[in-house]
Order: sequence, then structure tokens, then C-alpha cells
Amino acid sequence: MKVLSKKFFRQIRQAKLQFFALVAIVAIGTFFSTGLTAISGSLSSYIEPYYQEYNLSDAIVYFDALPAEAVQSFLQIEGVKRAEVRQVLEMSVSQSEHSAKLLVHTIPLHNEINRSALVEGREPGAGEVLIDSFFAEANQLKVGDTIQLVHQKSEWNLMISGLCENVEHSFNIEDASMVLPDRETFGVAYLAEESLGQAVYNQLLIELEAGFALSDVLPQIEATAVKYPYQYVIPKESMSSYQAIRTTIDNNKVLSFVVPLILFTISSIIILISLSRLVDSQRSQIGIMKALGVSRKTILYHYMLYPITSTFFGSGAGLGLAYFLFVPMLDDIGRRTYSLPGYQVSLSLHSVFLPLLISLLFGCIACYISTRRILKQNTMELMKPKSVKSAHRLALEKVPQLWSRLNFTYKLLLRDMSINKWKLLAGSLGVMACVILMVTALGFRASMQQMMQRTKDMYSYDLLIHSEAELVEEVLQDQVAEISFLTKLNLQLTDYEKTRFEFLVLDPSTSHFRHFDEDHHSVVLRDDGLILPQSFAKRHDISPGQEIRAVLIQEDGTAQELRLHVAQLSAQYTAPKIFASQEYLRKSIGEIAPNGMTVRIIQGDIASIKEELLDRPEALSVSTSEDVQLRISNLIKQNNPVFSIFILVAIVLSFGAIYTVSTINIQEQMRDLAIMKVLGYSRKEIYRLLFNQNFLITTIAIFCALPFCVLSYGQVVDALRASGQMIPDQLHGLTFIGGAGITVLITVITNQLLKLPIRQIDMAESIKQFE
Amino acid sequence: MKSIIQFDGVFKTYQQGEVKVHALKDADFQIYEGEFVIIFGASGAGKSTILNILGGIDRPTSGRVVVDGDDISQLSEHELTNFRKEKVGFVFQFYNLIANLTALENVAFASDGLADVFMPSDILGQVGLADKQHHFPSQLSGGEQQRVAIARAVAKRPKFLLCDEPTGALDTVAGITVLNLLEKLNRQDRCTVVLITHNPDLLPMADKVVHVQDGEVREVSLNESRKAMKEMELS
Repeated sequence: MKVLSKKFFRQIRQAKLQFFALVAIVAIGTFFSTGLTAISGSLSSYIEPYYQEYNLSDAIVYFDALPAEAVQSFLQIEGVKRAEVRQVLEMSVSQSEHSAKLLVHTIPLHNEINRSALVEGREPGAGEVLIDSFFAEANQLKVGDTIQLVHQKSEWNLMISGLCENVEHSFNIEDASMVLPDRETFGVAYLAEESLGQAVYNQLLIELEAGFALSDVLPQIEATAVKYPYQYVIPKESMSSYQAIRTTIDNNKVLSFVVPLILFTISSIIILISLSRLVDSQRSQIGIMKALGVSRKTILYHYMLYPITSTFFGSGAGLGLAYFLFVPMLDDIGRRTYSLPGYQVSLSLHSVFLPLLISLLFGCIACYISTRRILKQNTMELMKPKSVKSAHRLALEKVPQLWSRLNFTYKLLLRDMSINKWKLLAGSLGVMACVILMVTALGFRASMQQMMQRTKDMYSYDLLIHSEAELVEEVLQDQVAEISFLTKLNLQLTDYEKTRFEFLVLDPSTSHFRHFDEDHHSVVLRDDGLILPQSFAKRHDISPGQEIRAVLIQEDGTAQELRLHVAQLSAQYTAPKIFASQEYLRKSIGEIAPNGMTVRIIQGDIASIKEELLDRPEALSVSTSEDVQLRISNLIKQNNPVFSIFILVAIVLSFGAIYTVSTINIQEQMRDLAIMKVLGYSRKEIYRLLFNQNFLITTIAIFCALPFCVLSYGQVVDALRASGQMIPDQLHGLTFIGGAGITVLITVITNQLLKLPIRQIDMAESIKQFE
Repeated sequence: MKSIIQFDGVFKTYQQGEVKVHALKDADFQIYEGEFVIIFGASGAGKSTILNILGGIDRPTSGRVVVDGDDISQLSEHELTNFRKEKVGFVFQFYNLIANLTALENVAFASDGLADVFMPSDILGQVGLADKQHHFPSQLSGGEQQRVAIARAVAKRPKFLLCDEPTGALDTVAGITVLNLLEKLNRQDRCTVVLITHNPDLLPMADKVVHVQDGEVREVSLNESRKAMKEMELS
């Protein structure tokens, strides 16, 4: 066995690159498997104890106003263990540079549900506030600082007593359209009831007894709630944070199994083909070993070293890459995405052993299948030369007009491929996986850029100012090129979970805002209704022409119930808003004076003008169109490493598959290639034969991959849509061409590398070998 | 008669690991147009090395190999490829047909792109395989495959045929058929044939015999009265 092992390692040395390609595929499988299992594993092992320790509410009941004593009536419902009331308000942080908002919660007395995890400092007393640590970090706030919070012209100056995270805001996004939290502009805060003065409770937190489900108690909760100005109930499972984390865990769990399964299947097929070819070329050696009395088992174990070694090296490399590259990156993404104190992505034993076992199992099965037939043959048969594989006619030959026109290299190629379907399949599968990964990554990147472009097209003002016109004139003076007045209000859609939107009432002739549908066709603001964000309309099945109930919330906090007509939909990829014309507002509500404006300036630094305006206490908020673009730009930057990994993996996979299959091809066709050389065929013609074969594999794989690309990209978009984000869902021709182009380029590079083994074919030796 | 091949002080040394193997040592001989020449010797004598160098498959370490007026030891890789394509017809012991091409395609493949060649179907007819031209090699017997190999070699009207133990893998009857064919090509079509063998029974059919032993040309003998195949008794 020791001698056989030596022989095995010498064989590997002879086919280094082929072995390396195989190891690379196993490494990628391990890399993905361990990485993705690490996310789902770390998150699920962290989140359940976290939810339990800080007691995530089973449901939140929303009210317009609820008296404190109402809690008792909810506590009497069988199955309700605890109930707590609180007030939740969205407040602006007045000294923030980024028009930041905080979702402020009062802390109920004897707070047991949705308790905050203190990261630094202490619980807030009167005149103090606890803010989330990521918001504090992004806005350079620290314990002991004082912040000014503004809500409907009321102001509170509060000292930061501590930094925290809360179980209910573990995925803390301002609105469902956002892919990642923007911690500079949105955070959460908790304060004692007395800090607000008179608290008007608008939320009731419910904790259920063990063994009770919300569905058991929901009818009684609703029956009790309707006695008050009740809005709706949101169960734990529908809360955006809970949902986002569950989706991440579930998706990654599936992906961590499916992706490596595909990759290990490809590597097994390659092992199967490589070993079949190796065993076949060594049939006489196997015959001699058997003649010398070496048992079948020993010979089989000797070949088993191939999958064992490739798994060992591949898993080691994949694990190393995952540990040093993927895990830190995932950890960073985890920190940017989730607000979980002390959360860290770590590799578990389970995540390490699973890919190792799958790869080993698949590899050993492939090895067993490829060696079984030859090991069963008797010794004499093995020592005789192997008969040539029978060629057969192709369907294409029945069309002589076409067949006779084909060059001999194509005839050879087509017949060879029809005989070696498995080899073709293995190569094509690897390349297909590459095209799918590449197109999905490029498609997602193109979507991000499209989002950026659409946002630029949509918002063409320099400054959006929420203030009095006199201030603008005073600060900007002769720098104004164009000014357009608007009214900025809030609209709460009654029948759609009371979702709040920024409501911009514009002059239809303004060129500062443009609206587009999903296909980038212009949507013109009309006087007969609203423009609603398409993603929201799709999610709630709202179509143009429909009437919706809404509550208009004005700056002074007065609310007015309305019935509004949806006229059109527009694709908005970030911070979606509802738009209407001033004429429509007049018709449906009455006269409301403009409270802001958009400005285009002639010259000057927009950022410094913004700062100058923000320094003035009269300015309520100032933003630039670049602020919106910056959000997407940050998103692109954050996703860059993920794109790079996808593309790198695709390249390695494609190279591995094409190179391995091609070198096997060269070895198998060595005799034919040597004969071609002897017959006077030039190297170029021989290269062409093999290169055409690779191009054919690549072309077939590209075409077969197209529907899967659409499917894969669709899955990514669907997953994001499920959480309310809007991503352009169309894969453009250029993305396909890009993905296919890179794949073809990899084929060309692989072909160049294959020139060496072709050049090294020794005609005399090759022919003698077969004789 | 015009000299078509001239071996002039040819040496061939292979490096096998740390050992130098002298496969040819100062080999000299000449072959004239239209001759039937047998290169005779025991296994390992250096016959195949001569054939490989003659056919442009291998290069000599030193010495001159003049074929049809050109010193092929001085040709570039590209020129050597063209030399093989245009001037040499190979017939190997194990036929070396391309398995995925039919008999007809194998013949056409070798002469593809060359001018003034025989029609592949005609030449297959001449070797008695008109009815099997669409068969793949695996559907033909050994003798039939060798006949296809001869047709492939002859179709391009080569300057000479190089046959390496062409009957070595065949039974007697098939072997005789193949030898008859080679003789016919030589006598009727005046095709120069260089045949390598270790079988002394074949020597009478040659015009000239080059005796090779231990990498050296020991003797070049001429047959005053060359025997026709029908006069020979082969077993």
C-alpha cells in the first residue's frame, strides 16, 4: 500500500494542473458551504437566546390612543402572560447633518417585554435618553452628550444616558424599501415616560403564556382592542426585523446545502471522468498488480486516494479562505446589517465537517463507479490492449448536404462529443454554473447602477429645502438658477398597515422631479390622482384607477381622513414617496400653502450651501439629490466584495471545469492527435480541434444556462422583494453578453494554457505507446 | 535512377533519464525512386528510428537526411509538417486509423487540402473496400483496417510509402493481401516503398535490403532477382 501511495503521488505530480483544478472546485464548495452555514448557524444560535433573554414581544397592537388602565382588560385574556403600554414617536434630531430621525419609544414601568440590551452607560432617568449604539457611532454621539429631539414643533433636550440595542429592532431599517440600514439617518431611542411629559400610549406589547399561539388569543385581543381607537395587530412573525433575520437564516440554510451540493456534484463528475480515464490508461498496470496477487480492495483504496486527497486539500483551502476571507467579510456585513450586541459570525464544527463529508462521499462514490468495472475484469483481459470505442453515425449525417460541407475537425468533434456525453455534461455543468453565477452577480450590479442612474434621472434638483422662502433668498441670493415650490406632508395609508409615506405635492411643470415606470418610460404628474411607488402597489395589489383610504398628517399634527385616487405608479428604488400635483391637492383637500422648495443653483459648492442653511435655526431640513444617490452608492460599495467573490468563484469554477475536461480530452485523444501530426496537420489545426470543442461546450453551456440565469436572478430579486425592497427585475441583454463574454474569455485563456500539453505530444512516442 | 532518399552519417541519441541511448550510429544508405526497400533488423535494432527520421516524425542528432533534394534535418517545424503532409505516406503496424472517422473519411482526411490527389472512393475501390467505405474502423477486420491505412497513405500521391511492420498485427491471409497491395503499388504505380520488418521471409520481395543491427547499418544488399509475391511462400 505504501508503494502504491508513492505511485499515486507521482501520478498527481504528472497532472498537477488537472488536480489543482479539481481541488479548486472542492475548495469553492467548502468555501461557500462553511461560509453560508456560518451565517445561518451563528445567527440562529445567537438569535433565539437573545430573543428569550430580552423577551421579544409575541405581538404589538397599534392604537391611536390607549389609556394605561386598558392593560388590565388585555391581561384578563387567557393565554396573555404580560401586556405593556408605550408611546412610540418619530422625532427629528435637530442638530444632525443628515436630517436624522429617531424612533423614540417610552419605556413602560416595570418593563419586561422588548427590553433593551445595554451596550454602554445606564438606563435613562427623567430628561435622559438611551439611543442605539450604531446610530450613536454613525453620528459621533457618546454617553453624556445632549441631543435635541423635535416632534411637531415640540422640542426635548435630552442627555444620552447610555447606548443600547433592542430585540425588536435587530434589523433596523427606516422603511421596507431599504436594503440595508442607514445608521446615519435613522436609529431608535428609549426614554422614561416622564421625559416626554404627558405620554399618549399608542402601542401595546403582548407576551403570551408558554403553549399559546397568537392565533389562539387573537380574536379575544381584537375584541378587546376595538373598544379603543384600535388600528391593527402585528404578530412577531410579521415584524420586519424578525422576518428579515428568519429569512436570512432560512435562505442561507438552503443555500449552504444547495450551492455546495451543485459544486460537489460537478467535482464528482470530474473525478468520475478523470479517474475513469486514469484507470483506463492503467488497465495493464492493474492487470499486472492483480497478477502479482494485489487484492481488488488494495487497488481500489489506492485509487480512493484521489478523492480523499482532493477533498483534503480542497476542503483545507476552502476552509482557510472561508476563515480568513469570507467569515471576516460576513462578520462585517452582519455588523452593517443587524443591530445585535456582541454578534459574531463564527465557524462551527458542523459547518466544517458537512462539506468535508459530502465531498468525500461524492468523490468516493465517483471513484468506486469508475474503478469497479475494470477491477471486475479478469487479469488476462486487463493485460490485453483495450478495444477501440465504437463510433456511430449522428442524426446530422442523415442530411448529407450539410454533413458533407463540414470540415473534418468538426466531424471528429461532433462524433467524439456524441460518444463522450458524460464528459460533455461535466464540462457544460461547470461552465453553466459559472455563467449563472456571473450573470447573477453582473445582473445585480447592473441593477444597482440602474438604481443609481434612475435616481439621478428622478431627482435633478440641487437642494431640497424645508423652510421659509425668505431664508432661501437670503442665503442663496443670486446663486439660484431655478426654484420650484412644493408641499411636503405625511400620508398614512389606512388599509395597508397604516404605512406612512412622505407626500410631495409638486408643481407639474417642475423639471426637478421626473417619474418613470419600470421600463423607464416617463410618467407625467397628472391632476387626477396620486403617483404611488410601484413596489408598494405590487405588494398590496393596488392598481391605477383604484381609490385608497388615507390619513393626511400635516406639520402641526392635524390629521385629515381622505379618499384618494391612484392615477399612476412609478418605479422608485430608494426612499419611496407619494407624489401629487398642486391642482389635485386643491381639488381633494383644499388650499395648503407650500412649505418647501427645490432649488437648482448656478454655481457654488452645494455641500457648503447646505451646511450654511442648516446652521440657520429656521431651516427645518435640507437635503441634496446627492444624499439619495449616496445611499445607493454606499450600498454598491458594501456589496462590492460579494460581487468580487461571486465573479472569482465563477472564474475558478469555469477554468476548473474546462481545463480538467480538456486535459482529459487531450489524454484520451493523444493517439488521434499524434496521428494528425504525423499526417501533416499543423499545430494550429490541432489546436483548432480542441479549442472548437471547448467553445462548443462553452456555447452549449451558455445557452443552457440562460433560463437558469433568469431563474437565479429572479430568486435574488424575489428574496429582496419579499422584504419590500425594489430592485429592477429585468436582466438586460448586455448583462447576458457580459457574463457570456467573460466565460468565453476564460475559455480562451484556458485554451492558451492547453497549447503546452498539445505542443508536448511526441508523435513517435504516442504512437508507440498505443502499439 | 534518381536518388530519392539519402541517409548520410546519421546519428540519433536519446536521453533516457541519466542514460544516453545511441539509437542510430553513423547510418548511411541511399534509396532510389521506384525502389521497394526493406529495412531489416531485430527488435530494438534501430529500424523504427530510421523510419521516424525518414518520415519527419523525429530529427537526427547529427548527419544529413536528404529527401527529394531537401535536407529534412534542417527543416523548420512548419516545413517538416508540410513535408509529412505532402510527401510521405505512413502505414503502421496497428493501422492508426482515426476511430471516429469512416474508412472514406480517414482516406479523405489525410489528403484534405492537397492538390492532385486520388479520389478517396476510387482508392478504396482499388484496395477492395468499395463496399465498406462508410464503415468505421471498429466495424472492419484488422486486414481491412490495414488496407484503409494503405489507401490513406497512397491517396495523396506521396513521394514514398513508409510501412512499419504492416503485417505484424495480421494473420497470414490478411498479411499476404496487404503485401500484394504494396507490391502492386510499387510495380504498377512506381511508388517508392520503404518497409520495416523483422521477418526474414519478406526479404526476397525487396529490391534492396538495409540490414540494421545495434543502431548501425551493417549491410545494404541488392536483390538481383527480386521475387514476386506469388512466388513466395509465406507462413
